[in-house]
Amino acid sequence: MKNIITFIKFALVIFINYSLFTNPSFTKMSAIGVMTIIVSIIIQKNTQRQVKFIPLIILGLSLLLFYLIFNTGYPLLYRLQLGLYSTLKITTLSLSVLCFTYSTSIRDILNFLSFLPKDVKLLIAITFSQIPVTLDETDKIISVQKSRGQNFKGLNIFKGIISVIIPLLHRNLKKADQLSIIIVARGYQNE
Amino acid sequence: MDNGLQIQNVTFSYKKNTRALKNISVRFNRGTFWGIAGANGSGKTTFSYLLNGLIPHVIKGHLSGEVLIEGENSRIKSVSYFSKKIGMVFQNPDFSLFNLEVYDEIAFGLNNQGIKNQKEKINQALKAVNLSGFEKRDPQTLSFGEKQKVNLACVLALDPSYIILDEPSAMLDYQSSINLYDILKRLNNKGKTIIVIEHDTDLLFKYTSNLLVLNKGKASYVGDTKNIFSDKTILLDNGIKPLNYINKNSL
Repeated sequence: MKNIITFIKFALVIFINYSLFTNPSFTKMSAIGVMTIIVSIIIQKNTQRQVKFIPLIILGLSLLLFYLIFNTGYPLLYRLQLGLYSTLKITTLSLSVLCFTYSTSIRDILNFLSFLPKDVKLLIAITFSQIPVTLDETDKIISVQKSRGQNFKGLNIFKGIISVIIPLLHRNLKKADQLSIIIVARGYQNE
Repeated sequence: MDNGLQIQNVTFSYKKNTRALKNISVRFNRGTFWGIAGANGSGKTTFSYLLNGLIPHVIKGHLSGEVLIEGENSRIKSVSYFSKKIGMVFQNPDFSLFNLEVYDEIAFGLNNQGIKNQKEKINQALKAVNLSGFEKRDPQTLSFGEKQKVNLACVLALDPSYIILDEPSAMLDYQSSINLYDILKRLNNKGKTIIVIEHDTDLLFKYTSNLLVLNKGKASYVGDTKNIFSDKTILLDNGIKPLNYINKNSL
């Protein structure tokens, strides 16, 4: 039963994203966009998980600004309409995927994807399991770099990001190396 | 066949001219409790990779000499084949767990070997490491000691004759280390061969019956644990802390 529900959700996300790329009218696009936003708000309330709207709003506004500043050959109203159209497209696309991942547990997604080859399933399981670990490690590295005097404010943010990304990358590569040995040691043979 | 694990004149190097292991010969008989000690960089972990066929199948380098696992040459059979006989618990449990639930973590090895009746085996393995009821837990949310025990359960589910542990007590508090070693001792009493790489001399002295000391890739001592602990000079020469050494010297 859970697999059927996951399939329906998955199919809905695919349908929404497919319809976005068939150049729908502005009205149709707005309807899909508003519907997705409402669904994501409902999911946020029911699952008590914070859907991060702010980065999406920033992304949408930047896109809108891009259309207003450039493409000067077209009239302002048309550029505004184009900008809004693209903003809606990207926001709906992101929100629909967020809705799916927020309302479906990783276990359900993996069960639903059981038809995939063994190697791909393992890859997905490792990826999902390592996301929270990587985020946790990022926080730790940030704390370490702060304690060593790294400033993350103002223009120093770029230097700060590099000081986090490099050790994180190094650690993850090392972990991947170790993990591959462990998987083989536990008797795994690829198909 | 009861030939144990035989390492015969093994020399291994990752790159040319940098030998990680130099002409080591040792035999691990069934049912024994071995310790492997030595300073950092002495080749302990490399040696452990040799015991279950990871060298030369996964970790590449130049290997000479023979590794016989119950009479079978490690070069001929795959690591997957040997994983039924030899279980390995790696050093950092944070890097070793990659599934979403403890149950899946243990079932991974069983699936690879095509073993049925998984639920019973998983429950038995968890019971053996005192983690009954942890099946649905996320391995990443467990404490360090619990993660180490889950790693051991993953190995135990396959019921191997030999269990190798790479510094199992590193980063564990004293009580957790004792708990873990008590579990290992219990398994040893049931006939399993335990090989631990360990820095803690108290644990080595208390639990192991035989000791292999590595020094710069060479086996500088192979024999009874109690004998080597009676000679402080050999221990200190090999970078191993004698029993109660710091207490006595600070007084």
